[in-house]
Amino acid sequence: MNRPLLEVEDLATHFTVSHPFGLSRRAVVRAVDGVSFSLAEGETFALVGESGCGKTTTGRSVLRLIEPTRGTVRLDGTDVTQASKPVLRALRRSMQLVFQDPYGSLNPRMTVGRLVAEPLVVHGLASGREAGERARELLSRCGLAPWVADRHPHAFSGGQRQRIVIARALITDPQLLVADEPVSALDVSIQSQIINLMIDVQKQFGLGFLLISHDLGVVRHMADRVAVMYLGRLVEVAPRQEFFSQPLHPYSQALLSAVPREHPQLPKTRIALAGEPPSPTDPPPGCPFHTRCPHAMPVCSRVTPQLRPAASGRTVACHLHHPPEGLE
Amino acid sequence: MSDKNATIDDTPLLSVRDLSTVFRTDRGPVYAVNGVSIDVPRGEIVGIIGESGSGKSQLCLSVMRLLAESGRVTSGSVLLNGRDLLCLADREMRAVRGEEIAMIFQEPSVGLDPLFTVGQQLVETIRRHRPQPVRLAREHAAQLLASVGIARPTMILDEYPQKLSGGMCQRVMIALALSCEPQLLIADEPTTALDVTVQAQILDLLLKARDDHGSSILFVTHDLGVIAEICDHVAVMYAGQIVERSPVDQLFDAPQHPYTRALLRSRPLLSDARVHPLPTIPGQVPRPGEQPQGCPFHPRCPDAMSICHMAPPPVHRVAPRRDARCWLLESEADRAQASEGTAYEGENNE
Repeated sequence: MNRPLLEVEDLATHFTVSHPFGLSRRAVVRAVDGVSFSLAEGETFALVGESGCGKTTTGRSVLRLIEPTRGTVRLDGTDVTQASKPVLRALRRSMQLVFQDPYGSLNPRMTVGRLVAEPLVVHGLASGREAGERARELLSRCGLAPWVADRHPHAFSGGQRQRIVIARALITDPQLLVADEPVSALDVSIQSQIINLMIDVQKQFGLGFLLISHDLGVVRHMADRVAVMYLGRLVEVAPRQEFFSQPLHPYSQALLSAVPREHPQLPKTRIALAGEPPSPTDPPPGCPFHTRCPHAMPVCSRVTPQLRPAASGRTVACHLHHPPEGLE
Repeated sequence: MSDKNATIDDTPLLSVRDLSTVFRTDRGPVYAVNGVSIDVPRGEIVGIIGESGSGKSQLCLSVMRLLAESGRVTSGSVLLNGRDLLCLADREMRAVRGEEIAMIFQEPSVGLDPLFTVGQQLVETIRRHRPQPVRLAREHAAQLLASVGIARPTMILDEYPQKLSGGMCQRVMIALALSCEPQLLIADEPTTALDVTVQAQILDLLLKARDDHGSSILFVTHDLGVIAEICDHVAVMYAGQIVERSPVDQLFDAPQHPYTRALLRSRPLLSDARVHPLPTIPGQVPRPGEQPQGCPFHPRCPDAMSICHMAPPPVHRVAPRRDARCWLLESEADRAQASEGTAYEGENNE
C-alpha cells in the first residue's frame, strides 16, 4: 500500500452531443472535467456520486474504453493515455472491468468455461486444455463448482453470474480492477456474498480496486479512501473513517445525510438539497455545487474552488475551508 | 393461531385475505402469490419488503387487478372499504382505479404517455375525476406540481415527459396519482431508480401526502433503509408468502423470522465498524415454480430443523399485528404433532 499503482492527472472527457432534432447548436458535455487521484497497490479507492456525475465515465476513461479529452493515466508507471495499440493491448491484461449488469456482460452462446478462459486466449497467454484448467481454478476460487464451466450463463442467477464475471476478470492476473456498481443489480441477500468475494480476491491477488458506486453502505464496507464526484469534478477525497465520521464538503454532507436511516428510531438528520444537479452541458460558473449549496457565498458563483489539502489526510474543494485570497 | 382479531382498531381501509395468484407457464402453473393476508389501516404506511421474485409486485398488481394475461387470482379477497374488488365488473374496477386507489411504479415513464404534455395528462385526469373547465383544471394541475416540489410548475406543464429527469417524472407521477385524492396509494419501488438525494425528497413527499390528506400507502421495496425511513408497519415477503408482519420498530429491534434476521444482519451499514466477512444468506432466492417443500426458506435457513423440510410452518402470533411463519416459534409438542402428520391445519387457518 505505498507506491501508486494508478496515477490519474487532470483527466477530462468531454462529449459532443447534437440536439435531438438536429436543429440547434451542438453542446459539449463535460462528463469528466479535470479529475486527479492515485491508487496504491492493494487499495480500494471509491468514486461516489449521483447519476450523471461522471463516475462511470471516469472509470472507462482510465481503462481507455472511452478516449479521454486530456490528462494522463499511468498504470504502474506506464502511460495508458499515450500508449500505442499493441502497448494498450498488453496493458489491458493488467486492468480489468467488472460491470453492474451480470446479464448483459456474458455472451449467452459460450459456455462459462470458454467465457472465463477467453481473455487468456485473446491475450495469447494460454489456450486449449491449459486455459480450461485455469478457468476451472478461477471459478473455484470464486466459489463456483467445476461443473459450472460446462454450462451456459443463462442457467445461473445474478449472483452466480457476477462470480463468473469476476473469475473472468481475474484470469489474466490483473493489477487493477475497475468495479462499476458491482453489486447494485443483485438481491440484498446476494450482495453480501459478492462483497465478501471481492474483498477476499483482492487480498489473494493484491489487487487495486477502483470501486464506482452510489451505495454508501457498500463503499463504507469496502473502500480505504473515498472520492466524491459532482458534475465531473472531485469535490472531496478522504480516508474512509474520516469521510464517514465527518465529511467536509457540503455536498458530501448532504449526500451522506440522504442515505435512509438504518433503524426507524435513529434521529433524522437530513440536509435538504434544493432541486437537482444542473446539466453537465451547462454547468454553473464558479463552484459547480453553489446552486444547491446551503452555505453558498457570493464568491462561490464566481471562483471555482480547487481540491486542496485539509486536516487528517484529506483534500476538499470548497471556499468554506479555503477562503479565496483577498477574502480572508 | 387465527389472526382475525389481530386488528383491534377500526376496520382497515384495505384488507387482503388469503390471496393467491397463479401464472400459467410452460412448466405448468406457478404460484407468484401464495395465501397472502395483509391489512392497510387508514392513514398508515404499510411496507412490503422482499427480494426479486418474492411476489411483492404481483401482489400489488393483483390488488389493482392489473395482472398480465397469464396471471389469475385463484383465491382470496381484496376488501377496500369492505367491498371485494375481485367481485367488481371491469367498468366498476376502472372507476376504483384513480378514484380510490392510485399506483406509482418504479419506472415513472411507465405511467406517463410520451405523446402528451404533462399538463394535458394532468388536466385530463383531473377533469375525469371532477368535471370542470380546462382553465381551472390547469390551475389545479399547476398547484399540484408545486405541491410535489416542482419549482416552475407552469413551464413543466408544457413539457413532454421524456424531457424531464427521472426525479421530475416521479414527482409528476405522484402529482398525477394524488390528483384524484385517492384513499390508497400503492407505490411499487417508487424510488429505486432514483439517486439518494432525490429519493429523500420523494419519501418526504409521500409522508406529506399521508399527513395532509390522510392517505394510506402500501409501499413496496427491497430496501430496509427505506422501510425504516417511512413505514409504520412492515410485511416481509419470501417466495410468494408473507413470512413476518410487524410494527416497524419491533421488526428492526426483534425480528422473529430467521430470514428477516439474516436480511438485517447482511446489510453493509453506514454506522458499523467494518466486519469481514459480512454475514451472508447462503444459496439463492428460489425461482418461482421451484418452491422447496415445507418452509420455503429452509434450504437457506441456519436454524432449519427436520420439520422445516416437511411441513409449511403455521402463522404464529407474537402480539397484536405481529406474527411470523416459523417452526422455531412453535412449541416442541406442536412440531412433533405436525411431523407425525396428524391433522394439523396450521397453514390454512388464517
